[in-house]
Amino acid sequence: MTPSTHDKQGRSGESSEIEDDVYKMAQQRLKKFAEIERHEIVSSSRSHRARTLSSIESPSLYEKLRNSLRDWQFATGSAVGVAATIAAFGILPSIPFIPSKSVGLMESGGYESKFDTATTGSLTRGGANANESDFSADSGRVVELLVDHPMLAALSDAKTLLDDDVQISSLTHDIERDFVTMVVPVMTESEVYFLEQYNVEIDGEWFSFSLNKKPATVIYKNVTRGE
Amino acid sequence: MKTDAELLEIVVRRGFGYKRAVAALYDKYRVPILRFFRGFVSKEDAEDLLHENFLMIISRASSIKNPSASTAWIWQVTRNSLYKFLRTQNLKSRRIYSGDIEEILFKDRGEDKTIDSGADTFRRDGLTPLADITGACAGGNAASRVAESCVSENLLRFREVHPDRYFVLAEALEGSSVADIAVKIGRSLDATYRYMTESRKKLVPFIEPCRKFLSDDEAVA
Repeated sequence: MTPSTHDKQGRSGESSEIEDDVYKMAQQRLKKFAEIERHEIVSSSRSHRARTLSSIESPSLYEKLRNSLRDWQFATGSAVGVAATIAAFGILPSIPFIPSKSVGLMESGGYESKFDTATTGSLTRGGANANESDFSADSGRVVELLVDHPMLAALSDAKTLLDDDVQISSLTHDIERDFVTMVVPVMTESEVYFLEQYNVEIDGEWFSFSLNKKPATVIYKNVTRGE
Repeated sequence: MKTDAELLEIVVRRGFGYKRAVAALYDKYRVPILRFFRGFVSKEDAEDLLHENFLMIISRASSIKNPSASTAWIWQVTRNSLYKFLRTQNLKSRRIYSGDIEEILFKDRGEDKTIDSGADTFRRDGLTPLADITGACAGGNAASRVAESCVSENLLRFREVHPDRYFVLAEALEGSSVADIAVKIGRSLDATYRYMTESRKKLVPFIEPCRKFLSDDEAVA
């Protein structure tokens, strides 16, 4: 087989003095060696494949959450579902996201707020921007969110939750109960979270998310640190 | 089928399809990279090198500045893995040309710069034993078989002395274009063409002693 070395000028790279039987034999032998070696490689070392792929760190649940939310935020439209967001009131500016239906009630230690995102496209509390003074400071309080969804919904400014500014103490996935529990220590009650329903694809699987089947209802409990 | 750039982008983002992208890259490059390594190191070392090299590709994918050159970047990482491995194997003690290994391989070194042909200079344990190869080509007359054995043996010697040249010649014979080979060895198209031409010329002295066995008048005892 003549090597495929012809360039645009049609040069083959072969000089006439080596176009002889012994050189052609060498070419055939070399090609045979390569075929045998290729076959040996292809048919061997399946375990090496498994070893290598398994050692590639799979994205943690944490990273999946962050990346899926970021991707969802930029890639989806209203067909996917309503927008979900986690916001720290009084800390973040208005967060633009895909407008959706009204979010419903949120409860937080006695506070009730209603958020209408359809008109403004941003998250506000009671139609007005939230301020830290809306909440009394209560340092050391731990907010634990229980979500009956395999993946936690955190959108919009996901880094709000996932940044170093807001440490996630733990992120666990209870497979049996299909709960994701995220524990976020908060210093003040001004950090409030609510979640809505949406759908997200993770590695080809679709996860539907809902909070107790009631969109935009936060189910969470306040856990005093140390309990 | 996704391109290398698309697969690496998925890897960098670590989002949807991450595992599939990683597996796709591995399946695509395992054989060619392993063949590349096995020209220079033992079979076992080549497997380990492949493993480390692939981890390097995945972990450094975010450093790609030009996604359109993702394939070339993958091969650059691969070559660097080989160079690093060869350096750490202390090849200078085996009388390899005392220069940077990157300046030796896949370069026209000149007549006075050769790689020592010590038998253990470049271990290639992965090659099928010579007898098995020559046996597979049984046929023809005795002189022809002897000639084939001679050529096979001297090809292996050529590979010991010029593993880089052997690699490009094998790639060409298996149908790789000059452009593909250029990407793998990190040379320009013209430089690769010249390198391949020179490599063929370098092969001639190795197989020259076998010419006599092709003569029908030669009787081999």
